[in-house]
Amino acid sequence: MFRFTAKLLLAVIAVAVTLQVSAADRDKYFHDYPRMLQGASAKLRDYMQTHPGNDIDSVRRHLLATLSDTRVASRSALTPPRKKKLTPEKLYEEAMKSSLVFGKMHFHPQFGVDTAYSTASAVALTPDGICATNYHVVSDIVINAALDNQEKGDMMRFVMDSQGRVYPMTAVLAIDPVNDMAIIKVDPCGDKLSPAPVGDIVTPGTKVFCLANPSMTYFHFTDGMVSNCIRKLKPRTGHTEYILEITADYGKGASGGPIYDECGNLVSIVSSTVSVYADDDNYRDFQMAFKQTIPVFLIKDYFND
Amino acid sequence: MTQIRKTIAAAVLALSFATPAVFAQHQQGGGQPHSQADRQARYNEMLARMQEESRAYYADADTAEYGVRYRMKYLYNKANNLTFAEDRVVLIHPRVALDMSYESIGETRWRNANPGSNAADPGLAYHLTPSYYFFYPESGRTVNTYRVIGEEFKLSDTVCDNNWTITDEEMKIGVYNCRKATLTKDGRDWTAWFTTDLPHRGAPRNFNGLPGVVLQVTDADKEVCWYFNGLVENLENDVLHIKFPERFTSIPVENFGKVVRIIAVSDAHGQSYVQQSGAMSKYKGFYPEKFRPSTGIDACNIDNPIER
Repeated sequence: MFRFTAKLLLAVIAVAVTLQVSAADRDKYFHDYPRMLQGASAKLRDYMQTHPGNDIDSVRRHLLATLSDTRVASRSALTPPRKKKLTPEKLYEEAMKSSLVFGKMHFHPQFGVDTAYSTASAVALTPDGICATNYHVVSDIVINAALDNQEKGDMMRFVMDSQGRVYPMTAVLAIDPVNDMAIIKVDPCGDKLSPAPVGDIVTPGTKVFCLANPSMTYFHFTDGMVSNCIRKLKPRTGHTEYILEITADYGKGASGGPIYDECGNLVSIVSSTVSVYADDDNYRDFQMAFKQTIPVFLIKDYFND
Repeated sequence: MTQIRKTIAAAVLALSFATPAVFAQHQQGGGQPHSQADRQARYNEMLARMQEESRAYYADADTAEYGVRYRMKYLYNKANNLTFAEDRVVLIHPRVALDMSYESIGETRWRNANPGSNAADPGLAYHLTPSYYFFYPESGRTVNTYRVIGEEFKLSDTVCDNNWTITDEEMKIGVYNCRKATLTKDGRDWTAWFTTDLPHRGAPRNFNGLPGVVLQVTDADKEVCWYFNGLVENLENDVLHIKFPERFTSIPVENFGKVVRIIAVSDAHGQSYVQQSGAMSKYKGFYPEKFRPSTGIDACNIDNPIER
């Protein structure tokens, strides 16, 4: 009788422990990112109180001085490429460390409140806070800085990692409007960002993965392959545009998000989609969408000695 | 994202047009919200307002006696053998000459001559570099200004010191008798052909200092050229104004290079980042309305500068 009772007790304990682990697993694998983003508002408010000079006006005021045409840091600041292929599960785990949400803190005078919300994506390049995103994500800041104009209600831009840690943007370091690329600096707030290992040129057929934030669906993981490598010399301006087309899916909100190869190396960043319709004139009968990304060598060019 | 952004912008625009239309329809009991006559009336009203603003802006401006039109050709990118072409004009007045882009004058005149047409003037290069070179013959003063949207930069204010060598060589350009002059300047050997058949003095860019009107300038390698392309006359209700900027921007001139590159390149590839940035609100009511972002030479990838 005693033996039976002891066995039963052990079984109950085992089931309870199993159930407890399952509950922990739920929280480990299923994330409430919108709630994290809500928390960003409070964190940014605190940051602005403790760092009153580090708002978007400061970024604008110093932008022309911080903007470089040629160099933002030494090549050694970048993480060298990883050589070993990763399983998709492991790759996701690694990519989650460097993929970021890009957002804006805005004051709404009609409601008297400020809110942080996501607008795009970004990727960490160095532990001290250098990140890459698209030019079109920060173009309003750059243009308003160039023309010495203030945007009403605009308080701050920031990035948020998958753990909900928030880092305010403090500078725009380089821009390439032709290729829709921007390199920014965020305040790591005493942390060290987890930068993506930086890869090299990839060719059609290479398997790639995208981890970005389309349509406010945060850290969405998709895969595909490189489908085309395009170089376009613009005859009217003499600028050259480089496009790495891929088949991995993404949509609005993924702008500036990272594209990785099978080793988890950053090979490009999201830029745009071009939709093909059977009826072009009326945008009807959708057929396919080209996914156009920016090859990573354009970013690496700004890291030199 | 670009396509999506365009779609969103189109939807917002459509809504902004559709909403008043719906209201109007509701208020007018289902009649046509915007008739052709309404649209025409609004257009006429806008045109009248712009003409009024134009009159006020140019009230104290000089009126040129005539203009000399040039086709400028420039091998700006040697690596890819790319040439830039722009229609420029030098407006001539006894007291001052002004070199500027001809595009806005040409486009306005073509639109007025072809009302209702959706086509563009086939004779225009459709490039506008918003650079202005004022030359005062009596003092030799040369002022180079540049308008980035509504920001007027004064880039230089100097006295012309071109040391031309006037030769005996003569040539006819059009119906005008010209004389050859040469000059070494900014790393190039220049040849100019000037005439005294036309009144007063003037020249493209900063090639002033000759006793007449310059009709052609080329460098020895024929990489940078201004070719005479006819005279421009004043028209009734469309006169050739020479207006020195009333005020200059508070943006430090040392930032000019970065500012012009950002604005020019941001809008040079089919994107309207400047419109989307909200920065244009700063220039509401600003005249002249020739402030659209430059798609001129400063948007180009230059590996062969004019001044070497």
